[in-house]
Amino acid sequence: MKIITNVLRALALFATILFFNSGFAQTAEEGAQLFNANCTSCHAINEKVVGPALKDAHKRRDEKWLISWIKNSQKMVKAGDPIAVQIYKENNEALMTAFENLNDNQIKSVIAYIKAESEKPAAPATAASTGSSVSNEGASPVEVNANMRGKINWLLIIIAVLLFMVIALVLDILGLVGQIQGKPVINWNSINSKMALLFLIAGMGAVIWEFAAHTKLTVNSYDGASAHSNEYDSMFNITFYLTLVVFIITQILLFWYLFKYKHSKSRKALYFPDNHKLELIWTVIPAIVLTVLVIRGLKTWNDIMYHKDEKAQLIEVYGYQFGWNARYAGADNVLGKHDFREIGKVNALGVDPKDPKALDDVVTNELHLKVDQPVMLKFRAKDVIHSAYLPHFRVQMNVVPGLPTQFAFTPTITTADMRSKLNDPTFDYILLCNKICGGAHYRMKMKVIVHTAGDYEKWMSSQTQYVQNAAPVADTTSTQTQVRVPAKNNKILAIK
Amino acid sequence: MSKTHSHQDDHSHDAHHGHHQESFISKYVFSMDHKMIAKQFLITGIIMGTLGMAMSLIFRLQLAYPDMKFPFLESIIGHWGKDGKLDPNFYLALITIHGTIMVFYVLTAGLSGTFSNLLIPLQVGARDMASPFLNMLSYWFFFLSSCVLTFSLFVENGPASAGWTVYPPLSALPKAVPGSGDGMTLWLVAMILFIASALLGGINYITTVLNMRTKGMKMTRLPLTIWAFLITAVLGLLSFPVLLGGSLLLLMDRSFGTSFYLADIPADLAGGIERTGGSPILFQHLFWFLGHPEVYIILLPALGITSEVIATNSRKPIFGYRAMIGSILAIGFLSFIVWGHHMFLTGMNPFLGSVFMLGTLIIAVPSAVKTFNYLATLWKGNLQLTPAMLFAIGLVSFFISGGLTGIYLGNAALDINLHDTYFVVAHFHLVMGSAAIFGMMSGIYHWYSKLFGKMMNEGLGYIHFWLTFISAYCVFFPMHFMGLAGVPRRYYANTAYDQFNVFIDMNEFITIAALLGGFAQLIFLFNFFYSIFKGKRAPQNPWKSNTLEWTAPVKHLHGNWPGEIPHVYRWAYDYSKPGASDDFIPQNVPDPGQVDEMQEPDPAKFEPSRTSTPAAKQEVVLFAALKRLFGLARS
Amino acid sequence: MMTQSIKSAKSHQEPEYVINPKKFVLWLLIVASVMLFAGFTSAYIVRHGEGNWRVYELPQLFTTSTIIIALSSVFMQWAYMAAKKDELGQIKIALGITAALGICFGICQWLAYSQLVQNNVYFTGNPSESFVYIISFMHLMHMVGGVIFVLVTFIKSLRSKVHKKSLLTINLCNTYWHFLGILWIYLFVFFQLNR
Repeated sequence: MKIITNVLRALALFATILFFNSGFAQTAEEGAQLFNANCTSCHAINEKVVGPALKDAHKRRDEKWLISWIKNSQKMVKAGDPIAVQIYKENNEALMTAFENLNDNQIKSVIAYIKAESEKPAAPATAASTGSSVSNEGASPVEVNANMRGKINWLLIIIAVLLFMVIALVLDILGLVGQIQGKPVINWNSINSKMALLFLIAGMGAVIWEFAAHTKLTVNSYDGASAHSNEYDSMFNITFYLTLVVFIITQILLFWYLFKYKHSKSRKALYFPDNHKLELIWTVIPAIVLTVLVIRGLKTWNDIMYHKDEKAQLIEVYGYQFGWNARYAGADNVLGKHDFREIGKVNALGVDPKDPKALDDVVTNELHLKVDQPVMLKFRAKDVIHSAYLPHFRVQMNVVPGLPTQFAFTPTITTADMRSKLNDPTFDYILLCNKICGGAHYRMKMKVIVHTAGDYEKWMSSQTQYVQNAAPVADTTSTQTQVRVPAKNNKILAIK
Repeated sequence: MSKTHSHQDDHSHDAHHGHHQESFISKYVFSMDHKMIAKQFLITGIIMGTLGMAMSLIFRLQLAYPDMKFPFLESIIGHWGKDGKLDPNFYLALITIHGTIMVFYVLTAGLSGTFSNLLIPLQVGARDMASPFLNMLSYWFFFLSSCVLTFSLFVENGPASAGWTVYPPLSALPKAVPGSGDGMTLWLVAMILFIASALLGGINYITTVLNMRTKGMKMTRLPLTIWAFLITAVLGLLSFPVLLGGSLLLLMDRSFGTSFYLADIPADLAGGIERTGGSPILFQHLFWFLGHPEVYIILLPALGITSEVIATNSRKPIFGYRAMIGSILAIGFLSFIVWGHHMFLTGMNPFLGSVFMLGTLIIAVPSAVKTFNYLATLWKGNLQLTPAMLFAIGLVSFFISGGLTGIYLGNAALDINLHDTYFVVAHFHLVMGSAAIFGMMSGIYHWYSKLFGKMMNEGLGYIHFWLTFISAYCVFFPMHFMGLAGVPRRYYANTAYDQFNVFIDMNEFITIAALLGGFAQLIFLFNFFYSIFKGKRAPQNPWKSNTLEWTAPVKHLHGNWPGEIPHVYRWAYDYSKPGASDDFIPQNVPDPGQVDEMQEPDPAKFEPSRTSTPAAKQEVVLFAALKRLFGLARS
Repeated sequence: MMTQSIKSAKSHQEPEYVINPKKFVLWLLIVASVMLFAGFTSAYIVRHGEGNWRVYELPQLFTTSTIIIALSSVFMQWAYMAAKKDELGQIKIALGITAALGICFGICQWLAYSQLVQNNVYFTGNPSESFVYIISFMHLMHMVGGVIFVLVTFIKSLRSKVHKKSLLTINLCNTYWHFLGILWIYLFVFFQLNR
């Protein structure tokens, strides 16, 4: 069996390669870019994410239907298209983003990409699909177990209750026996106090182990990639060492007392209701420590938040369900005006094509930064509150619809340098959404790349301006005029 | 729900039924007796808590095994778990309802509702609440609210799924997430009913404490439980109406087309009407104006219970009684001016951020005082390690661990990288979740005999405590590291991020610990219900405690005491008093020669004599060193 | 049913209260209500400060209703004084007028809303518009409770149950009614000042 499937897979691979070489590949490649930019937050080829798996979608529906669905699925549902309604229901009435900014050719290339991917044999990367194909032949072991688990659930509960009853009875009987003997059979007092000591020692051991094992996974364990990181990290470390000392002392005292002062008939507790000096001490000392923390914290906070730099490069970060865009202000360093009513109509970001300041803006779906160049990120949201979180830069700001927010910082370590520092050639900075925003919240991210100055200029010069001078601004009612962007990763936009 | 528990209560009281000529309904269902209402709150709270806990286990499974299929899910949650895969939208619904249930239904109503009702009249020496009728109404609003919330789980688009903080626009736009449809409307209705319940309850608690204390019960003689309940009720009275206002505005935005919280939302997203001019941040201000005091509404009763339990079981007076009251008052006051620390990164003016940061960090001072006072109470005590005592100690441990991370999050600068990460999840689950649950457990084990006239099984209690304690730390402590690595909360899976995928082992560990914790709660549930029927008969004062509730007969009476209400001659913490024959002196026992209830005992008489204290070498080294450092060898 | 047994239990010993618990409960309810409106008005101010705020004329009828509610407070006070002096006839008249004025106030508010709509001020418009509707409507809801309370007291007075030795009901009613009046005047001034 396995040999046959392998042979089939090899054949299919061969066929795909042949197919790709025949000029069709160009479309599929463009489709791949579009797919990664627009679809991956909710879809994958082989598995259900928020939306359904797209494998063989081109076989299930015809192209025309798919184009109209992708452009505006809600319209089709409202129009009562039976398949559309069914899909809507099947996916728990989660709305698919309308991609009215994509033109037919672009959607076709996405479909071509899906087709190519569907025909690809399942590679190791898509283990999920292999799993599902196995389960078609016969239920996989995992599922069998789980099924059985479902059936024996009730039995387990009954057994558990019976078990508890037996334990309770035994404990009761032992208690009675103890009463008769005049000496308890189980000395809970001593067991519990010993448990407390054991917990203290084992717990402290576990904490030490945890710090040893997991500290290296945190972003604080290596240099932050922005200018204010040092100040942030030193603030963090001050707080950390102070709280660690308090944590260790108080927990040790707590459990030590529990052990040491356990009940004893021969001892009487000390009547010690008050001691003003002691109370004063442990009011004043925390107050002093906190004053230090407050002063240092306020300084750090103000340094970070009031940081202004005239030369800062303006970049707009635009968040929507479920993805990000970055808009660079261009040579004039002024972002063009935008209007939320025009989102999806003139272009995906609602940028006013008539505003001359907008003409040199560049839009991408990766955030490219120049090392040591101060940037001012301006945040804007389309639908709900998101939060742009760049953990490696110690940067975070909520992205609120209707309320502009911003964050200024200076990246100091290029992606390449960070990779070599961390010895991880696949490392990338990320900007991720950190405010609950809907079903695909957990996939809403944007790659951040920090270039050297030279690389940045090179990259920027390969970008095309968002709204070209040549754009037929006056002719807004004409049929779709396309501004094609040749470079990679660049969102292709259509202007009506 | 009501049927189940009233049925159970019925059996538990069969033995001493017939004392009052009341119908079943007036005794068990629409009861106006504060003790019965306390039981109703408790049992409803426990049922809701079981639901909330079960939800957390489902989403923990998802987090630990994002690629595995659990076919049993489909049989529980239907189309949301198709083929055994949890739907990402339903994941959000689960965390939302888990948070709502735990914060409001278990730790507000279940904790404060139960113990305020049970203890306020009994400990201040009153026949019942100031208005038994409003008290009954308070429970039934709560019950109705629980029903509405539970019902919302079954609506077609699923329950509310915008997080328990329900920030608009996500919660205002049905198109943004399925749960913002009918589920969200029901959530708001449930919340409005809940607020009505909390207000009616709170008003009653305040009136009773301030107005109906027995003779001699000065404010400075109140047990710390009562102080905590009083401040809690005041916080609720001042903050819940604001949430009510906020919820009403949200309801208007959702159902009537206004745009209080909606700005720049095009018509096609917002149900056909373009929404401009609102402010999404406004809701956050209104929400957190309640939300932050709410944290203390949850925590203060737990701390009050702990004070009482620790003092009783240490056989020592609570250390620094007045400082404890002062710190409760300080925490209560400060909790109103720090709500902005939940919003440092909303784009608020950095100066405002500074102000909120200042207030927030100041709260650490009264919290530290409380912690050290607990430690000082334990010091040289004679600790009876009852289950209630262990849970109270567990609370102190969590309060320290979780409180310390609050110093990071209250710092606006540090919040930049920690906001909404797992660090926050770890922080509030320790300081507010686990700590308050432990306070509630402590209260249940301590006052079970007052509630049901029976004793809970001690051994099972110990097993319950150690399993819960260990598993709670195993669940929440590792989360700090995930947070420091930048893992955001409310993520359905971390599979899309290479950097976060390293935590898959940790997630599995946490889930196993959570399952263990869940199992431990089954032991508790069993013990709780089993003891109602089969528990040992309770003696009148099983813990040899000083407070007034133990002077009331085990058998529940309307009006609490058969004869005259006992008068109070002393504070609640005369344990191990030198010269006394017993190691406790109940509040209603006068000193020799004391006739006037209001007269305070002569302090000179009770200065602890040097001979009765153990030798100095028994002191813990550090404690002694500290004292020597400040020249305090006096005592 | 239950009250019976409570009463019998209480008869052992009648506790002395600093303030009557019912009165205290009412005051606490008023505190809660104040917090609700404090929340609303602070939300109003916060939102007002953010700009994009439509300014428009408040309806004339709001002034009328303010006068009505102020008048009704006077009558309420009269009723209370009369009760203190045991003049049963006057209580009835004054309470009747108070209730009627309360109802007038409600009608007046309702008409004010239609006046607002005529001036193109809509509930679903700019938050400046929505706020006036929702805040005054919440006050109106409080008024409904108030009018019912006055009517209950009125009926009690018809049965001659309100007099010098039974002042509690009318005292509570009086307190609540003045609170409603002061609340509305505060809101009215607030709207005038923060436009």
